[in-house]
Amino acid sequence: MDGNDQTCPKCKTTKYRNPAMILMVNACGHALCESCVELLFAKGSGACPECKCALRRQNFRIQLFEDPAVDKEVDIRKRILKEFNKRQEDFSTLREYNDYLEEVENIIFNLVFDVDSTNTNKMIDNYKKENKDITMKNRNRQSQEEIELEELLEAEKAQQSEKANSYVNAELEEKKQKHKAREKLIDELMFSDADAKSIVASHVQATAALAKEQPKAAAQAGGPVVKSSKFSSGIQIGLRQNTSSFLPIPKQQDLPLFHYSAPVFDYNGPSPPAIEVLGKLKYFANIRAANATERAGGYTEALSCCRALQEAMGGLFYIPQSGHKTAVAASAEETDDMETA
Amino acid sequence: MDYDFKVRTSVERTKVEDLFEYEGRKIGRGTYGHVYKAKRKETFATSDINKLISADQKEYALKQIEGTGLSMSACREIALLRELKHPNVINLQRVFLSHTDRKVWLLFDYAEHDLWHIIKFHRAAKANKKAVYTPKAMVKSLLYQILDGIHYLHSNWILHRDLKPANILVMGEGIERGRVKIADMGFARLFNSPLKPLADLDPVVVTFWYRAPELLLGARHYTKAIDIWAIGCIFAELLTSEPIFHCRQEDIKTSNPYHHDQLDRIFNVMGFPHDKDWEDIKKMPEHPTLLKDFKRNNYQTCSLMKYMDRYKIKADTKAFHLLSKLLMMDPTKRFTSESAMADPYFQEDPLPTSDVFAGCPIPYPKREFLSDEEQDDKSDSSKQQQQQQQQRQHASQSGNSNHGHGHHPQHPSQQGNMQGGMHPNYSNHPGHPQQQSHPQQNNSFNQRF
Amino acid sequence: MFATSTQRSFWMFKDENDVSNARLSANIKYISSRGRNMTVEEQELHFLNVTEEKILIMSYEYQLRDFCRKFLPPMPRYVIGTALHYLKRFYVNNSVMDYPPKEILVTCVYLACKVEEFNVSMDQFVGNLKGDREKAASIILNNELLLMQQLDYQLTVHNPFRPLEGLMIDMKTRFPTFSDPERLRSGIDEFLEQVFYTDAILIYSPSQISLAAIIHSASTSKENVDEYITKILFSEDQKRLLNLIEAVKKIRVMVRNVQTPHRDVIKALEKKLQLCCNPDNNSESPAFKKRMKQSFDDEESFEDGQYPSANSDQVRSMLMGMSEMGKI
Repeated sequence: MDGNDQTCPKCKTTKYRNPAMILMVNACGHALCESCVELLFAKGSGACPECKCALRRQNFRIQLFEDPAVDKEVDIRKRILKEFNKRQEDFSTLREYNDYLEEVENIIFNLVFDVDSTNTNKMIDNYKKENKDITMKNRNRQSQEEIELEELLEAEKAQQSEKANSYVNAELEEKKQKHKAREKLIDELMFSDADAKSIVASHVQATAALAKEQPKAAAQAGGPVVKSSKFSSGIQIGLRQNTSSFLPIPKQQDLPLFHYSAPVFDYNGPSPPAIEVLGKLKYFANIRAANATERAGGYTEALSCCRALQEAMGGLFYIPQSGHKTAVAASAEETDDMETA
Repeated sequence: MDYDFKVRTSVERTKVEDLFEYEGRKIGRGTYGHVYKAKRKETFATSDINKLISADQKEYALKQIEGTGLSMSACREIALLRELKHPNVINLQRVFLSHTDRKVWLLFDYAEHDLWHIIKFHRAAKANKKAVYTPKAMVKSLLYQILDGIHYLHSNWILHRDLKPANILVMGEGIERGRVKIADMGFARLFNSPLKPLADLDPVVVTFWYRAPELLLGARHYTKAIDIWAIGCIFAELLTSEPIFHCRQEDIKTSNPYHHDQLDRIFNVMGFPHDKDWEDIKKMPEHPTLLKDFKRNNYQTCSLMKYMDRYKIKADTKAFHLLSKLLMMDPTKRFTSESAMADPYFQEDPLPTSDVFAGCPIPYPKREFLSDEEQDDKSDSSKQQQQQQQQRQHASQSGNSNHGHGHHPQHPSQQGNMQGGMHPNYSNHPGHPQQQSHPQQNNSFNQRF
Repeated sequence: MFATSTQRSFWMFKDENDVSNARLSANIKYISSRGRNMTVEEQELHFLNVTEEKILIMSYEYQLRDFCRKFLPPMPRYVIGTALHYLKRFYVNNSVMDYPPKEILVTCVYLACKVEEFNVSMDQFVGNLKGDREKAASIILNNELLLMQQLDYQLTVHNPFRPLEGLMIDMKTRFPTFSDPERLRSGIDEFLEQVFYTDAILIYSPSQISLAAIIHSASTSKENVDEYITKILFSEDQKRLLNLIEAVKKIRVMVRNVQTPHRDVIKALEKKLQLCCNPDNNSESPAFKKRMKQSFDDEESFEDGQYPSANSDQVRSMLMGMSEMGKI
């Protein structure tokens, strides 16, 4: 059926004539175009023009399917399944489960085609009363499962991107290594006294050995352990807890720890006395004292004294060397070489 | 024109736009100028095959300094950066000068992340009850590297003076993955003896929330302790995702260092300092004003312990202990960077790592590009809303008065699903000149990488 | 710190010969490019040789100091020191004939003020100059970027003044047998002034220079600080003592050999300079203006083909901009 032929039963416009027309369908299964719906309820409460059953504005939904009957069934099914949400686990035998399912289908069929509605509704109410607890429990289960699913998806995404990253990193590493190795080779050829052939040979060996290591390193750089909530058979692990913001650290042995290497300040001169002993050594007699306000703000004469002494001692051992490059040459280098300081 | 002249001027005239591709890739905007994400153009002539093969694929941050020629602070920044070399301090690669329009360009290594964005990300995730996967030692590693960088600066008698999360950059994927870089030395100074009280030259310096109490009380001389206080504030913010001394924006143009609201906030968190806590407080220039404005009794129930307890940081943890030593009110009692680095907090498991992300995937989004038209919205009445599912895609940026790849405050957009309690995020923070990015939906430069 | 500075890494020479060689290459480069079609004798006649250049530079160093001495507001000596460093560094790599020293001199002072945080606005600065102030401002702005490039943006300079203070404090504390080292001040100050006219600042560390100053001043007053050096400073490092003694000796010799250039000699050299200098860089010459115009026409970014040195309105607006930046 071509969508363009859809007609509003009331005003008889078609999608062809008014392409913006949207058909809304209600609980009774009959369709009305949007403007007719508004018209209907502008005059107060409305009754369906075809079957005359009482309608509520809320219950009008945009028609999803061409056949309004289908829409009706979908709607009813949704409503019913909200109540009848038992799962296979709730039944001791498969037969019982199937019977239950058939019962549900019957109910839905009856409601859609308006068969024996009073009885059916009574059945529904009975069921509701009897199975209130199980229904509740299953509802909770459902929402939790939804959350878990979402998280699993996210974790999978993260894992994928992490994998991609690790590959990129591994590649970069490899490139770096290659570059380093090449440089090393050139350096050796330039500076070492050994035979050129042997240098090249040893270099080739070294690269081969390195190549073997690469796949190992790449494998180790894999992603973190993703927290899964289900064993592969589908059974859940433990109680659902609030995930903390922190992932357990991946068990990598070769994570580079931050080694604090105290900056070695080579003063290139005799060591100045440490700031803590300046007072004891009576330096402060020879320096302007800090006044009260300055001291309150954290300034002490020890600081400027210390600095002056550091500057004085620094460089006393200096031996003249030529460190100079002509500026023009330096900047010409820089156009190609970004590593110049 | 003779050949020699040509050669010379061609070297001098290496134009930044010839060497780098940066058009349409702006990532920061502030009073200092613009910052772009730049990549080398491959068109420069070199016959060196090896150089071509290992051609520089690195990303750079290109900072264009506002105004023509060199201001004193630009000169200072260049002079200082040229001398510094440390893994945790941003590295100035090169300087470009354009003779014709007298623009100055600084080339830095590109850092994908910074603490401002990272903390914002965590705050939003917290508000929406989402989990963020980060290594347990991340905060510790961050703090350690910040202290290391500052220790280097202080040993060279340089004070940063403007430490805040936006100035702490973190490298993204690459060789220096997860390394902290302290940036924006626009306010940095060589520590001087009191011959030159620094407060006279730059009365408005550090962003208020990270300003040490002695500055707020009118101290005339800047010391290393001021940087340490800022680091303490950053540490607290990393632990709780909230700026610890958050306070509403005040008029930053005033040269008066005394700020009542900021002090009030500090006392609300730390409590009012006892005499024995800070004996010399009486000698501070603004002490009489302090006595007039504040009553000790109002803060009797306030203490750092109580404040951190609300965020589940217990007082018997090493983290808390270190924090309390960084946030001592009396500057002479405050930890130095050396003593902080020697603290047992860093010897306790988990140990800090040189990659703060510890090899784990980085959950934070990459930087987004800004469009050229930006509205300057300084109103702090516009409440910014954080977007839930947009978090991962649209980390928009706030304008900032410093290089650290500046950022823009979130544009107020109307996204419907804000369940889960709106987090009382902060309105435009003071000290960051507010500039809003063009609503992102219309931003043609808004590329995701 | 000097030990880790760019000054030590890039702007130090092994000895006086090393410095002279660098100057020589700059000199030769200029002559060979501009005097391409001359014979060697013609070149010698027309161009300045490296010794003559050195004399000229020294006279400009004196001029710089004069300018700074009379400067208002009073300029601290470390700013002067930095400016002199810049001047020396610039002319180690460039010939005097290539860039007019008068212009470079002023630019060095201006840049030094900015880097050393000595706050002067452009207006204040050019107020200290004679002659056309606007023109001076534009000259400075034109040359500022060139100067920075030639310094390779390595703008932090370590002068001997702070080490001097440190040594004085140390002497007073640890060497009390020498009474009142302040007596040596005037001798020290004079020495330090003279040392900037030598190449010592390009060869030795600032603390070595200040120690040389102390030793020199002491010996002129027939006093002796040797014990301080041997027993206290170098007590743990006897081997390095020889090296230091050598350094101090050389520095003192250099200072002793400083000869103020004679006025007539300078005049003659200036005349020669006028003839052989590079017209492209000399803002006085019409060729310069033509060149500027041409270069700006080449640039796409410059629409109107204007150039700062001729258009006073632009200069004025630049002055306004600069003066605001210069303030704080």
